[in-house]
Amino acid sequence: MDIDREIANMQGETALPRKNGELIFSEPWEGRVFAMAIALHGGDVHHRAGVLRGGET
Amino acid sequence: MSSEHGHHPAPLTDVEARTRALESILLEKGLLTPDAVDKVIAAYERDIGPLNGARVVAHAWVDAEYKKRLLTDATPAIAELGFGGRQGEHMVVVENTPTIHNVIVCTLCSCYPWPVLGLPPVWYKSPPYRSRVVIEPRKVLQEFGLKLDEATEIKVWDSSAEIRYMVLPERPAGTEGMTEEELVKLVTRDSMIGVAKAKMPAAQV
Repeated sequence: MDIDREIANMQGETALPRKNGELIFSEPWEGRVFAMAIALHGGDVHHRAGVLRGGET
Repeated sequence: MSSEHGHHPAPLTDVEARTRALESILLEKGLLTPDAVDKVIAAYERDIGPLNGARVVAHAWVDAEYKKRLLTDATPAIAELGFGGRQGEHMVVVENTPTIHNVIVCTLCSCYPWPVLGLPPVWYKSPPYRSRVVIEPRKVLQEFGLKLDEATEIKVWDSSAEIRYMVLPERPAGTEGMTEEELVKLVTRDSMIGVAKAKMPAAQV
C-alpha cells in the first residue's frame, strides 16, 4: 500500500485541507504537526521503538 | 500590542509553542532528522495527490459498458469507483482516438480535477501553457515530446469552476493480455491532461 497516496486520498473530516488540489493549511503549525506524524510513520520503526523504550538517545 | 509593522515577530500562540517544543524533542531524541518535516511538507505540497484517474481510465479500457457511462456522464461514473468530491463535482471525460487528440487547460486560472488527477503540475498553472496551448496546441504538445500526425485533430478543452475535463487516453497497443491493475500503471497524469500518451507496456518500471 502506498501510504502517502492513501493519506492524500482521505475523504470527509479526515481529508487534507486543499484548495483546487493544493494543500493549504490555515496555520503553518498545522502543516508541521502533520509532517511530523508522516515523518515518524515513515522512519525506522525499530530505531523509534528503541528510543521510546529509553534504550537509545 | 500590535506587530503590524513586522518589526517584532508576534508572540507564539500556545499551540505554536507546543508544536515547536514537540519538534525539538523529536529532533533531540533522533526520531526525526532536521530536514524530515520540511521534506514531507514539500512532497505533499508538490508531488502527492490522489491519482484516482488512472483507475478510472484502466476500468474504462477493460469494461466497454463502463466506458460508455463514463463518456456520457462522467461524474456518476467516476463516483461508481468511489472518487469525487470537491473540485470534481461536474466532470467531463473526453476520449482520445486515432484521429482525435484532446488536451485540457484552464485559461482563466488553474481549475483542475484534482480528486482524479492529484495535484496540478506547476506548468499547468503557468501563463505560457494556459495561453499557448489554445493558440498553438500542436507546437506545445511537441514541446512536451508528443508529436502528433498532421491529420490528427486536436481539441483543447477549457476547464472552469463549473466543468472540469479529463482525457481518456487511448489504450496502448500490446496490452490485450494485461489485467486492470497492470493497466493502471500505464496511465500517467500527463496522459489524462492530454500532453502525453499512456505509457507503452515496455516502459513500465
